[in-house]
Amino acid sequence: METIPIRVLFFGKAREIVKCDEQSERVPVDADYQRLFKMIFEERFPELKEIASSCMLAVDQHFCRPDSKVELYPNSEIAVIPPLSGG
Amino acid sequence: MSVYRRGLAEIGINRTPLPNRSKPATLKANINSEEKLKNSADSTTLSTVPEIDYSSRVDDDHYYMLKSPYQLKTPVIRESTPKKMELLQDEEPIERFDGVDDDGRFHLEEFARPAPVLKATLTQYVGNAEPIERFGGTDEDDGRFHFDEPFGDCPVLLERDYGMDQNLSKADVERYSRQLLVHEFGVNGQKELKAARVLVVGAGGLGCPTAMYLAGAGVGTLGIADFDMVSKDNLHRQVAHSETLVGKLKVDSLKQSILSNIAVRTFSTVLNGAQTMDIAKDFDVVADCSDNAATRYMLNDVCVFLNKPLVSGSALRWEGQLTVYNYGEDGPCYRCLFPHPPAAHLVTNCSEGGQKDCAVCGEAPTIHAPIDYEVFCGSGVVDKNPSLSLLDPNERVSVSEYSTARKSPTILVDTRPKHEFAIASLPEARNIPMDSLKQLEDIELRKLLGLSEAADVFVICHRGNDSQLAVRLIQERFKSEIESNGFQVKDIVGGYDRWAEEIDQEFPRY
Repeated sequence: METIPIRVLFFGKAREIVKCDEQSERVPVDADYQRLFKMIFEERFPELKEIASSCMLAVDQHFCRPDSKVELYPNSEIAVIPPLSGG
Repeated sequence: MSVYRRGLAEIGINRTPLPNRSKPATLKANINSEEKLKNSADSTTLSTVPEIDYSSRVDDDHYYMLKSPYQLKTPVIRESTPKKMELLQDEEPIERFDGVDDDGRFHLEEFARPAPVLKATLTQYVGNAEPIERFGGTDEDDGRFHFDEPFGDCPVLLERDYGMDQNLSKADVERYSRQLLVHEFGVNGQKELKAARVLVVGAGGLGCPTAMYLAGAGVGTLGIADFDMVSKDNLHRQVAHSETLVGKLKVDSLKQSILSNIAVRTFSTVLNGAQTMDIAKDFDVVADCSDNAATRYMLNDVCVFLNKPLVSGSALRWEGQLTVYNYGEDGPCYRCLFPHPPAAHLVTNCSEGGQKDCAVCGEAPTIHAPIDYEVFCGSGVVDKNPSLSLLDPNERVSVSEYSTARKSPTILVDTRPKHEFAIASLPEARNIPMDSLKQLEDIELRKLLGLSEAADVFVICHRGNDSQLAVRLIQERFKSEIESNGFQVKDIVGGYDRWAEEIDQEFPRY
């Protein structure tokens, strides 16, 4: 399977847990949302598991929903966005 | 048009009391019947108008201007012709003038003729309302128009036709000129903004600028909801609140910073779902500037039920998020993106990764009315720092017990992060942040903790939550030493915050 490099960006609580802003990863070029989600929260960054259910992913600055079509390109940005409630 | 009508109650309630005056004038509140019932106090006769030096002048535009005896929105007097009056009945007053009552009647000079039309009274300054009543009157050849009614209902004459948009007044044009000149915004933008009613929930770090800029730009009605009081540590970012209002309600404080031409409605209560439904129905847009998950889910659901767009802002430390929810036919709601509330301590099913159908706006919604959001989120609206109760009472000491204990040799472990430790600490405190406690090897940690000193170990943090976790952690890691050396590990209830409150008022609270 062809893989491409992507950037995973962490925000809010996710950034606190992973202790960095950004990580580079390689993913299959045809990964869909569910695959990306599983890969990030279970395989690459299992420490994020505890917040997984309240997080969403945005791909190249577009919020995704579980049934969203995801198109990945080399260096696509996958943002891990937990809800932020501060006011 | 609804803009100002919505603001009526506010205007009425806040009417500045008028000083006594020898000749009473009547201020009629010709508000529409529904509001009249609600605000019956507004319909009462004001028998007082201030004893002031009324002056008047004719300016370059031939407007006759009268000084106001009233402190509030004053009515408009404009030159007109009968024909124009007919045509312009629906036009909104552009500028407000005050009424003169020097003999129990309202007098207008030359320019007022022919007979003026009462379009809106003081309390019912309602934009482009229909004239309520036409006044009869006479010109007694003294150059003034005399009303038959003795009155105080300040008449409003319609304006000359300058081809202006009927929803914008001369004052609007002058005030908002800079944004009218931005062609993407222009007259239409201004008009729509003026007709808009926005409810800002939360008068804090996000609510202050949101409300101030909306008001500055000329929003029609501004609602502000917040139950909280201004505190000193709000001032650095909630810049609408002034130092003199620390301890006062945030809604009142923010309202004082809002430009006087904006109708403001305030709601100083902890909002529940039902109340919010009732409040939000009178607004066009809801701005979520709240600081907790429960309120965010509540506002989302209410906006879905009422079909209102939700502009949601949130910020923490260096990050912020701005999202518009429930906007347009396909726009997702907050629950679409975040179906599960954040619950850091719950083990969650990871493979789930969101739900396909939204519980509130999906194909087959399961939530049809506001729910209990505090239960749903497992966290409160009011209590920003819920206190943890992990340890048994005999594993804890109060600040006063510690103040006695520290007279003998003790070990005080301060679990706050380094940057908090740098703010202030007790002299005997040794800083071992939570992260270090968790990560350090036993041998290093033992040295840092000073367990060999065999003195009792006390653990302190900012408010007394982490200190409990730390006590448990130390107890588990050094169980055998604790048992064999016979010392105790206890946390200090309420942490430095309680220490500053009860033991040493000079200790800085933050």
